[in-house]
Amino acid sequence: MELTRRDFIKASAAAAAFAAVGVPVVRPKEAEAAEAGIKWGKAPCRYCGVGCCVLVGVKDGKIVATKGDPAGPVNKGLNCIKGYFLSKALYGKGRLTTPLIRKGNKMVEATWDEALDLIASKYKAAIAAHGPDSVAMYGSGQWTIHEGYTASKLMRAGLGTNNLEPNARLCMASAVVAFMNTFGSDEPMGCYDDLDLGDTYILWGANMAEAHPVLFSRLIDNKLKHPKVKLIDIATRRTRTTKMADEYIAMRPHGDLAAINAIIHVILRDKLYDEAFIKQHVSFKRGKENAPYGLKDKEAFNETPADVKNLTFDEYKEMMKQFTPQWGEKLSGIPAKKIEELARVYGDKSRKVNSLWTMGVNQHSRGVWVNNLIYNLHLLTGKICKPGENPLSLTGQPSACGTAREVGTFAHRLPADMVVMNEAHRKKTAGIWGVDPAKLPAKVGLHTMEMFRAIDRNELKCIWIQCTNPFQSLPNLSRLRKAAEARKAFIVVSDIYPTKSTEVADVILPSASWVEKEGVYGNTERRTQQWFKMIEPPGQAKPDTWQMIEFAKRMGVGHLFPYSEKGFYKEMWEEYRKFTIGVGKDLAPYEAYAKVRGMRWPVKPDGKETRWRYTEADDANVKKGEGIKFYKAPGNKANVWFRPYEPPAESPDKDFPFWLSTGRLLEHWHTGTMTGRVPELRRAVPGATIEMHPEDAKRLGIKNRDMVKISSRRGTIVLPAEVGGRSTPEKGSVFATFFDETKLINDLCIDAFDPLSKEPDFKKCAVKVKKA
Amino acid sequence: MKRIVRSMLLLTVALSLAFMTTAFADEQPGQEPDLAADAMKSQGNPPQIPHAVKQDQDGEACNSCHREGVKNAPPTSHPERLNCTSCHVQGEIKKAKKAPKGKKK
Repeated sequence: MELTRRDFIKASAAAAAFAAVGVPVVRPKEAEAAEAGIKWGKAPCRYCGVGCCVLVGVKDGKIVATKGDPAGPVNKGLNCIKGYFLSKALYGKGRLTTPLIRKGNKMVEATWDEALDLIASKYKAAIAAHGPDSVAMYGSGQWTIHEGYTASKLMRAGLGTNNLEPNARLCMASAVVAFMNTFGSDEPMGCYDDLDLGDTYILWGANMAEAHPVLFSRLIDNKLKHPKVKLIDIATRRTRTTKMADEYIAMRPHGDLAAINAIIHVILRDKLYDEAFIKQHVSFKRGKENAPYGLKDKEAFNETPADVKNLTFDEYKEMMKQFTPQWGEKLSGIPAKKIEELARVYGDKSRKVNSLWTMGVNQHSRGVWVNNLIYNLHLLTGKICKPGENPLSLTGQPSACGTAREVGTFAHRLPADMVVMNEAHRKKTAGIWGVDPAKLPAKVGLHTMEMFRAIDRNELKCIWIQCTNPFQSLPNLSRLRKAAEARKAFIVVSDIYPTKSTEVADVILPSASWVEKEGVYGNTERRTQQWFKMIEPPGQAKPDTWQMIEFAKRMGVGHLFPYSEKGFYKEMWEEYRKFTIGVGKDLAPYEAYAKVRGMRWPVKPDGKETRWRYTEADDANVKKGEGIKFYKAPGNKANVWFRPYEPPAESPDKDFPFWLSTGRLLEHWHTGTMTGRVPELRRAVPGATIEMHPEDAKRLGIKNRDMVKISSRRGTIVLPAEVGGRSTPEKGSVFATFFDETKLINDLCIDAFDPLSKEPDFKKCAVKVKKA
Repeated sequence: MKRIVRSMLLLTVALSLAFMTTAFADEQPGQEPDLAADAMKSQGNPPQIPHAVKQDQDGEACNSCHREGVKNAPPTSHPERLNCTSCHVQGEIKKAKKAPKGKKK
């Protein structure tokens, strides 16, 4: 293993390669003068999961400047266009500044006491009449760690229900399940340094240039410095990412499931695998197949240990023989020759191969399986846990990792990879929380899709939504909006601006955002970043933690939050940190984070971060001489899963001949609550369009900017056509963004979801298209 | 004078960071960061684009004017960064130029 360590040291020296705009800056005098009197603070960016480091300049109680942080290891001074206008996300028109209570069709101003008393009385009444599982809370991957931790304690230990979900169910749940069932622990082994150190990057349906622009810049930086670097874009749509790639491989929607199986077939057939690595580190498994699509309410599917069969390597090889490149071509549209080529790229011992993916793989009715298959590629070829060669699932929200996943704000999760179904885990949790273990519910709560369907079924009586906008972002939206509009449940929404969700609320609470409060976020690469409060929130707006704890007091469970006013953030952190110590997810003492631009866990006993997990070269949990050790997995072995092809929930047919995929673009973030209020971003992209292939458009007599009617079995929408714009979907498919609150594309989306992760598939449904 | 000392210091720090061969070239826990100094190192926010840009334009096309600064285009300090529109947002278009293709209704 000496080689690994030497590689590691070499890698570390090279890691400083990516540096922002290069040359030292000579600053004009005026620029310096203008900055006099500004107090600077540090924070991670408010928007996506990349977690760029930002410097925030405050003068007279207002943010007067934000800058990409030159000392920030994530972005080395760069931001994307959203980040450069960051303060405007807080200073947009229409901030919510006072609690509002519904009186008929009107929202009437109220005091905090009135609003919180009302919420508590509704929750108490529902619990008394229908039990604790009749109430819920729906949070966010934009919650700070403290907010998520407060919510978890409040719902589970306070109210006695696991009906707690994050919107991260819509974006990262498939990644979580696959990390757990492959490695026994959530979150990546690698980190962003792999973007600087590798030489081969295979993108599975990820438009990084628009969705993760700063990471993409890091990748391109590496490519420009090292001619060997190769970028292969496998996608269903030609994008700005495609323009910078060495090769674009067009794939049919859902084709990844077949293509990767066929690539593995070739790797096995041609013995491109790493036999020694497999022997030492890998077990083979077969799971439950013929899974449903979640389209029926309460459709249950689970993969229990009894459903899992152990395989030998030979048995696995035998089973993979059916997935020939020709078979792969038929289902994926990727030519058999290309499949063979890709297998040789993955198997090339002289190449450091990385796979990168995001919503294309995760928002997939077999999303966990595709995640599993990508890990198979890396486990079979031994290209994992080494600097510059790793699989990396890219996250969409700033603390989907830190809060939703690490704190565990899912209906089944507890902090640090623990789950509510496990008695020992509940016991440990109860111990740290100082409550009776019997008080912690063992029954898994409602997952997001079932939570909102339960409103329509009159089963869920109260729901409190914080920091997210489900009544724009959920699929098959009109069913869920109608239920809310019919006032089938008591709905509370905490947010900073009016949204499609505050529209259907009974109580609206004004929240503090970002640097209007203290907080901690955790990004895609396990980096935990802390910031202090820098400005006051507007009007009566309050942090979400304050809102929840005031509510807890009214529910008679205020004792769960015994923190002092002055030491609030540190005291809660130190309590939460106990969950992480000694289980390979170690976090540092609170003060340590104030001094650095984040640290990647597990933080070692000497206070240093870990860049690569499971390797003796860097992870303190692996002893010298052990090399690579998947120490969180049973028997220290990662699983290679046999995952066959199963068709999508809905495919184009005679009546609905096009695929519809939805997603993001560079200028706007998620439902546009913040970016939609930034004038510069709004001017650049004012509204949603429907992207079409020029040949499809021509055949239907549609020209660029013509209004087009798009219908699915669930809804209809009219959008201007975008033909020959910045991106072009493959023939037979159309693409729309979901940020525009005046054009609810999610009315059309199918509410099919992955049977294991319960994550909906926003990328595939069948639509018809005609000139409006 | 103070400025020179400071920039010398910054340069030293930058160089020592760049050549560090220890496992952690990034920040070491324990140092108090000087955020104002870091803010001074930042170039500030990139200018917006005051003219129409083809939606499918790539960085090479931008560089055809901005590399050298032809046709009054301000020359870029970083022609190697090719994902231009990820930092430079489409600003107000001063001179109304026709969109490259297709008509607006």
